[in-house]
Amino acid sequence: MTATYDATAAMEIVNAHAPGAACVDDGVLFLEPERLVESVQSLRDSGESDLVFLCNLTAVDQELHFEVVYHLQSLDLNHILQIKARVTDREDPAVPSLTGLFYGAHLQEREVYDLFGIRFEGHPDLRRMFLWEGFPGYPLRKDFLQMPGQVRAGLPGFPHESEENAWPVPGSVPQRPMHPNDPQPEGDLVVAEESEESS
Amino acid sequence: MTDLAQLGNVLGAWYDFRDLNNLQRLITEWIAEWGPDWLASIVTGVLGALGILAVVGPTLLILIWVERKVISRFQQRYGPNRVGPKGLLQPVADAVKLILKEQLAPRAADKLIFFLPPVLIFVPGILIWGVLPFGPRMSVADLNVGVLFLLAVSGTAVLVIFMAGWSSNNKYALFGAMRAVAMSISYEVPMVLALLTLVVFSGTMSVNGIVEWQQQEDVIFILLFPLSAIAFFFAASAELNRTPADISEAESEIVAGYHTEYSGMRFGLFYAVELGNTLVVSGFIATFFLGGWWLWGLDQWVPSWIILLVKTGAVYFLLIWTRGTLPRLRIDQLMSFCWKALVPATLLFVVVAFVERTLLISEGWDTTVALPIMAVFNIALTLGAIMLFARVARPAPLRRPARIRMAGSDIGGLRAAREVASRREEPQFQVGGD
Amino acid sequence: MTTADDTQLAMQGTIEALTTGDGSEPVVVNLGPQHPSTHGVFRLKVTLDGEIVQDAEMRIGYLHRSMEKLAEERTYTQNIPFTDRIDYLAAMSNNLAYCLAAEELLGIEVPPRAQAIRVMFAELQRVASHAMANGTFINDCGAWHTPLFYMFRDRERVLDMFEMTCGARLTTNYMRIGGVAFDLPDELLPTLESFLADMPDRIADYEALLMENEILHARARGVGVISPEMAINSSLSGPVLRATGVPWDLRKANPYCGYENYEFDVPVGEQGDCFDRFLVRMAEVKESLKILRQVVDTLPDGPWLADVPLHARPEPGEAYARVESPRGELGFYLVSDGGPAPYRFHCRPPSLINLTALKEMSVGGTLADAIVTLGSIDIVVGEIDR
Repeated sequence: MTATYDATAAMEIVNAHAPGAACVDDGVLFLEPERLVESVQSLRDSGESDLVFLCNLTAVDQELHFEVVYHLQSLDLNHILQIKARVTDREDPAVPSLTGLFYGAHLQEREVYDLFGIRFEGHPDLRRMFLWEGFPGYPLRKDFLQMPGQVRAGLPGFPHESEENAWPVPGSVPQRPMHPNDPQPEGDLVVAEESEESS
Repeated sequence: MTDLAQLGNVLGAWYDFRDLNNLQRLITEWIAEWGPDWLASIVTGVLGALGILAVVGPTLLILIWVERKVISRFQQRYGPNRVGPKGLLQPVADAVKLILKEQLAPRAADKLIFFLPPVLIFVPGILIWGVLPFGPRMSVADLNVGVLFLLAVSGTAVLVIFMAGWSSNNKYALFGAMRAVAMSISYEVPMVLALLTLVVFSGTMSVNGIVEWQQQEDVIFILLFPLSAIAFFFAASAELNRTPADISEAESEIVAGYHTEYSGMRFGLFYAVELGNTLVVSGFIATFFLGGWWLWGLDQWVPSWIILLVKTGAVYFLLIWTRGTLPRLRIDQLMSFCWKALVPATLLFVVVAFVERTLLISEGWDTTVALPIMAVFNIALTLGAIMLFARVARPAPLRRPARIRMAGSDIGGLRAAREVASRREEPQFQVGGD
Repeated sequence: MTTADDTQLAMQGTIEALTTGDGSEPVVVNLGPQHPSTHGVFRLKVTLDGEIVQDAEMRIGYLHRSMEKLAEERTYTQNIPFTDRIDYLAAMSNNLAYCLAAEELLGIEVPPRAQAIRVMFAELQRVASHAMANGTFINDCGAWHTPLFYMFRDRERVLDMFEMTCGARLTTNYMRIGGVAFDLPDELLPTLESFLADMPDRIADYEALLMENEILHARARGVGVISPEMAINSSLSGPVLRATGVPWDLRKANPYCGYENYEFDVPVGEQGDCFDRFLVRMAEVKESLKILRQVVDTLPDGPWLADVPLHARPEPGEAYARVESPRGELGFYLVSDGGPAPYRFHCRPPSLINLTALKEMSVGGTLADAIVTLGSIDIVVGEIDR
């Protein structure tokens, strides 16, 4: 069974090489983006951690900041470590690229750049991958295609789970706030009388 | 000639069913009674061409069905079985569909040169049939330099292919055409050398003469010169663009090669000519190396063209078989195989044929004794050459076996990999190598 | 689209090549998006010097459906059908990986019978997928479809078994969070028995046809070689990694669904070339059959689906679960914010990441080698683009 590598031990390894670059929060190792490359290199080259295999590289939009998530695996010692790097600048997010350490980061970083707009500084070929150059916006950001009235993508609740989360039944009041450009309804909105349908 | 052979020849008339050449002779003689000589030549020429077309046209339609049916049997499926009885009308349906399709031409194509190849490709494809003897006197033109004619005419097809590939203005087509030219020029050399062996040994350049020589000496050439036969077979399949040498229209690499941009019936013409060429080359392999229309006296009982067709069918089946079984070689491998293996081997056999022919003539050896001895010697030489090739000429990486080991309990990264690689136990798979 | 600048640039290049060089310049050929060997809409832009590949660059995205965004709007259960469409040649493995991740988030125990059924279908899927991979690989080497059709017979039988179990052949949507959707039908086990009885003969046939095929050796040996160090550094996984000699298999290294209870071995290659990848897949089919045999013999009784609340909201948190799919390490990274739908849904696609080293493998070889290399990596474009 693949063990989870202890984040505290990893923090000690990193801090020995790059003091203060790592901290542990709630069992997760956070690395400082500015010193990411040397921190990860110390984890990769240290015989104790031996994290030589970059399993997975992705990002999460946490509304206030981006989290770039790395899963590093040691094949010989069979343990895995999750590393996160916080990017707070939403306008021009950037983290150093790991392509110098892991060749396998090439395509994964390009994917994150394409869908989140996080620049990986030092990536030799940072272009959009799935979408074309000039595609407006970055689809996996939470504010992509955000509608007015703070309505955003995502599922508020299960269908028919409770009254306030219920999906609109046909004919009922549209829950979506009106866009100023939408044709405005005339008069009061008609609320469908469900009692008649059910009887 | 036995009595039976004369039976069909009663009255010496043209309706001898074995020998359609009588018809030509009859017409020539009839015209010569009242008309000029050139008229007779023209009329017989036209009749011969019509005869070839009448044979080739329906044969192509049947061949498409045969090829698809046989190859689908190799692949454990039924093949065409919906249109007509046993799917026999499928080629007709395909042809109708292809004719009805729109004829597209790329905007940037060189229009004239783009339109010509589907038509021109037919010319060598039809001309070659002219020297194929279906019986003792049964060929349209029994040229005394038939072998030369065959090689010259078949060599022109590559020009048409290059026209098609170049004028399409398509990179795949250009690649296909370039590959076709390189291949064709290379493989013509062993083809010529293989035929030269026969020409040297039998002392004639007439195709019919080679068959008659085999009849006279009671031996087929594949026994005397097996390596030439193998070389000719492989070189022919390379010239025909058939797997394992179909690199000029390699589907998985360059889509369709030189005819990528041809649509509708233009593609259909390329396809049909390719099949027709395959048939006629099978016919020539049967003629040169398997005795053609002659089969140890059976030709007295069975119409000679049936014997030839059966032999042709056998060779054709072999070509379908290789196509259905083997993957494709790479262009550099094909080239090096041609120049480093086939050319020296066929050249060796030209020398062997020359020496043996000289011995036969100058020493006056009895052919009934000498030919079997020579056959045994040549077969041994062939086997030796093939073994030498397999041992020496194989590329270095192929001589090391490919091994698959079982990791057992060693799961991990580089350290475990070294652990597994250093283990001495027997690997699960070990293929290739010496 | 060619702009005036592009044309001018190209002209300059031509003039430069004609005046300063030897009068030649490399040819750029686009293999794809429509091409017989790209197995989908995948475009490989190769720069050729004659037949030699100087540069290979892939252009992808033709099948991009933004599943990761779509999944943020659907409940955890509603997302299962999406995973079918990610790798449509190994739908069961994708179902499984996603369900494992969701179960980790929700903290659900899967009943033993469901575990065994999951292993059974994951291994059947591996047999089917490897049959497809090897068949198309030989096709890319230039065979006229014969091995492909042979191997499709086996794949058909597997797909028939899928159909009788869950009603679908390709996009199965069979696994559920907490188990599988339906119990095994009565006719499945006899069918599987006869399949297991026939397969050794079939595999012996394929080995007789292909293993000692000199042309196949000439085409695939020493082609597309990658070293184990480079393979690990490039995050390669699955048969491509194991062909280099690295014995890394998640079924052994991180057993899920009770793989630790079954006896099987991990085949590894030696040279890391295309032929080794082919051999590793052949050997893996045998090992899969071994596992299937054990699953059938030890299939436990009991429920096939755990009690999962219909409106399950996982605690806020995250989970990364991965399985050894036929193509390599297939992972699902899910982030929950306590809502009914995943806050973030990420698939770690083995096909895409295995392509990282495509350029290294194919530069310097011929165009035909590049095609063979691409075929040996065994890509599925649905998974690359998602």
